[in-house]
Amino acid sequence: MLNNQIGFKLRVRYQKISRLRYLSHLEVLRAIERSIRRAELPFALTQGFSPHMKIAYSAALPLGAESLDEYFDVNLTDFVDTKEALKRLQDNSPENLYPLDAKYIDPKSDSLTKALTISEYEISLSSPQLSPEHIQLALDEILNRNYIEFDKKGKIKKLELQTRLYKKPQLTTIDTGKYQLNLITRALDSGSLRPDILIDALAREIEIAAPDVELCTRAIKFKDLGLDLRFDRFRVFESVLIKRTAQYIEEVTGEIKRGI
Amino acid sequence: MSTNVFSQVETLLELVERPSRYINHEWGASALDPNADYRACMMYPDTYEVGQANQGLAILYSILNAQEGVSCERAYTPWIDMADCMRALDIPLYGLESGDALKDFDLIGIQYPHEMAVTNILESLDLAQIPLFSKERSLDDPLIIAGGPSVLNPEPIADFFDCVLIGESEEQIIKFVDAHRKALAEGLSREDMLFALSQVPGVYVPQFYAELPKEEQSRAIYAPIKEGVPEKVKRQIVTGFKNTDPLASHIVPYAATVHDRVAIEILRGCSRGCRFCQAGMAYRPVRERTADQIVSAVLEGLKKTGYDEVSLTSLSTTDHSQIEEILTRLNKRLAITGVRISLPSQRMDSFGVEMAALVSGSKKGGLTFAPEAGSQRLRNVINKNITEEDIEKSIEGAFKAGWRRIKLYFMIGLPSETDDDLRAIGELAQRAYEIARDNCEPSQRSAIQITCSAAIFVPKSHTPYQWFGQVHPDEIKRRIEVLKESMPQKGVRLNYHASDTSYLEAVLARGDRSLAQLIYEVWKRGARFDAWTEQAQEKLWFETAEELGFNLLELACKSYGYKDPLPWAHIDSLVLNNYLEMEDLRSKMSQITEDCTFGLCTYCGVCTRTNADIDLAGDRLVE
Repeated sequence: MLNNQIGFKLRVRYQKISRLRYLSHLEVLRAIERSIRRAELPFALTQGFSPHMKIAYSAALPLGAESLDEYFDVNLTDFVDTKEALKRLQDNSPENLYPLDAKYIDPKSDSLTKALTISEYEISLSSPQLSPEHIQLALDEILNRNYIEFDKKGKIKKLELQTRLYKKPQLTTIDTGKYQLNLITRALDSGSLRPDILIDALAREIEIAAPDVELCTRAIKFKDLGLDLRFDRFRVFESVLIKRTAQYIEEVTGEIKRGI
Repeated sequence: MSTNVFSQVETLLELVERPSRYINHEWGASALDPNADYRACMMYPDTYEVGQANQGLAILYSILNAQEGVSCERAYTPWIDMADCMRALDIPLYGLESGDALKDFDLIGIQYPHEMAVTNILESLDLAQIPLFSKERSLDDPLIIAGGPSVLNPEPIADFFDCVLIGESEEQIIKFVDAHRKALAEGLSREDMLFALSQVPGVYVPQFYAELPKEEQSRAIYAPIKEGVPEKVKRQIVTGFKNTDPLASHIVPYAATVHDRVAIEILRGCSRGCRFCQAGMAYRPVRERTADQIVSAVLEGLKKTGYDEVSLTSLSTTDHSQIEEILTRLNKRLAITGVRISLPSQRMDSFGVEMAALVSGSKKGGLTFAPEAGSQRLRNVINKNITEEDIEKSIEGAFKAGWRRIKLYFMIGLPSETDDDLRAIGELAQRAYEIARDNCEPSQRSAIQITCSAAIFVPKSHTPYQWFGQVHPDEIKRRIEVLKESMPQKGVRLNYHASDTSYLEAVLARGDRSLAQLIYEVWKRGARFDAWTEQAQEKLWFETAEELGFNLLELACKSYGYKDPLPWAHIDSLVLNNYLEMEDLRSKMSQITEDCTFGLCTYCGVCTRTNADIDLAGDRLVE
C-alpha cells in the first residue's frame, strides 16, 4: 500500500505571531494539520485503527509566546516541488501561523524535538516601577545560585541552570521601564528551562530582594477584588512578551546551525 | 461611535484558561463589510466551544453577512475566569470579529438552546453592559432578540427580550432585519418600531401581550394588549429547505469545540412521532436534501476547512431515504484520506446497525441506542416504534459486526410507568448481555461493555405530554431503587442522574412569565453555567424560589387538563392542539401512531395549515 513507502519528508519552518500566540500547542497542531489538508498535499497516514497524519513538530512554546522559527516535518507519499508545496501551504494558512520556508530532508534524520535543542529568545519586559538594577540584581542572584525551583502542578521541581544556558542571559534597557532579556537555552532530556519559568523566578526574586516595590497596576486591581493572577510574573511586570527568534541544531563540535 | 475593547481583553488572555476562545481570526471567519451600516451579533449563551458548534447560529451568521450593508459577528458567554476579570476591569463583552463593545450594535440575537441556559443569557447581557429587562432598554440600546429550540415556550424569558423569533429563521431573519433597518431609518419610536417588527411573520413581541384576567382565559393565558399584533404567533418554516446552503459554517475553530468537524444537515424534521419529543413535533414536516447535494457539500466542506471528520446531522439521519447511497458514495470518495464520517445517532434496527457499520471502518468504538423504555407496553405508550425483535437484532448485529461497547438510553418517570416497566429495563439489559456473549469470541467476552443510562423524563410544551406533571423526586428515588435492583449482577453498568436539574428544566419548559423574577434573582446571587454539572447550583435555585414564593416541585409536578389555559398557547407550533390531545389519548391506550413519511398522513396539521409539505429525496421503505 501507498502508505508503507518511506516517501518524502518535508520540513517546514513557520511563524506563530500576533493573536495566534495564544494558541496552545495542541491547537497549533490541529490548525497545521488542517492547513495541510486544505493545501491538498499528499500527506502520508499512519496504519492502524484510526489513521492519522504522519507529522512531527518542534517543542511546544509557552502559552502566549510568539515565534519566528517553528518547525514541522510532514511525510508525503509523492514528491511535490518545494516551492509549490510551500505556496500551497501559505495559501491555506492564516497569516499569523504562516509557513516561511520548506525543504526536503533525509526521511531518516533525527526528529525535530531531538535535533533542535538550542532555542533563542527575546523577552520584552515592562515595569515602570522597577529600575534596571532591580532586575539585574535579581537575575544575577538566580544565576549565582545556579538553579531554579518551581511549582509544576503542585510538585516542586528543581532545574540546574548552567548546562541549560547556552550563553549567559543579557539584560538591556530599551527605554524607561522597558527591558529586553536575551536568552539562549539548551533543552535536556531531564527537563528544559522554559523562558516563562525563568521570568516567574525572576519576579519572585525581585519581590524578595525589593519588598517595597509596588505591584503592577493590574495586580493591585486583582488583589483588591480577591482575584488570582495565575503567574508570578504578572504581579511584577505590566507586560511580558516572549518571542522565540531561532532554534538551532547543536553539532558535536558545539557549533550551532538553523533547522532549515 | 463604537468602543474597541480588544486591546484591554488582550491584557487578560494570559490570565485565563483557553485564551483561544476569545481571539477570533479563525480560518473561514467572515471578513466584516467595512461599509455596513447595520451591525448584528449572534450570541450563544455558553462557552465558545459549545456555541461555535451550533449550526443554527452559523446559518444565520452566514445569511446576515451576505446581506448588503449588514455585518454580523459572533459572541459567547466568557467562562467564569474571564467574566470575573472583565467585570473587575470594567471591560464590556464584545463582538468576536471586531472587538467592539456589543452595546453599540444594532441587533443582538441570542440563541435559547435549552432551558438551563437562562442564567447565562443574563450573564452575557450583563457583561455586555446592556440593561437586562426589555422595559429598561431604550433606542440607544441594541435590539435584543431570542430564537432557537426552547422559544416554543418563550414566557420564562419573555421579559428579557424585545422580540422572539419563533421557528426556522432563515428567511424570517432577513425580513426582520429589513423591517428593523427601515424603522431605524424612519426614526420610529421604540414602541412603533416594536410594533412594526411584530408584523413580521413569526415574531413575538412579549410586551404587547399580557396575562388575561382569569375569567377570560380559555386555552391561552396571554393575549395581545395592542391592536394589530397577531393573537397567535406562528412558527415559521423555511420554504425550499433543499435550496439552502448545506454547508452552514466554514469557520475552523482553533479551540476544540464540542462538535469539531464539518457538519452537513442532511434532512430537517422527524415525524417518527415519539410523544415525549419536542423536536419531533416542532421541526415538521420532514424535508430531505438529495444524495448529490449532500455528497458534494461534504466534499466541499472538507476541502474548505481541512477537517478530518464530517458529521451528517439531523434528528434521524438513518431515516434519510438515500442514506445507504450517500454513505457508500462517501466511503468511495474518502478512501485513503483518513476522513471519518460520523452519524449523530443510530436507529435501533438492523438497518441502523448496517449503516453504522458502513461508516465505522475497522474502528469500532461504542454504539449508542435509545430504546427509551424497557417494556414493549411503555414503548408503545411513548410511540417509540421499535419492537423487542428490533432491539435484539440491533444488539446482535452490533456484536457480530465487531462492536464490543454499547450504550442504551432510557427515560424514567414516563407517563404510566410501573415497576414492571422499570424491571423490564433490567431484563432488557440482561438479554443484551446474553446476546453480546453469544455473538463474540469467548476470548473477546471480557471486552463486552454494556451501559444503561437513565434520565428523568421532562415534559415539554407543544408535545402530547405537555399536560403531564413530572413524577415527584421522592417517587423517582424509589423507582431508581427498583431499577437498580432489576439490573443484572454482571456485565452491565447503570448510570443515572437523580439531580434536581431536571425539575428546574421542567419548571422552565412549562413555566410562565412570572419566572423572570426568579431567573433574575438566582442569576444575581451567582448562578451561571447551570448546564455545567460542576457549576450548577440547584440548591440556590430552590432556596431563592422559596424566598420568592415559588414552589418549584409543585410547578414541575403539576398536571394540566386539556381545557386548562397554558402559558405557551399563544405560540402556534403549527401542530394542532387536537392532534396533541389525540396523541395523548392514544398514548393512554398504548396505541402507536405511524410515521407519516413511511405511511399515511396522521393529521398533525403542519402540512395542511401551511404551504409546507413533506419533501423526500426518494422513497422511504419499510423494512
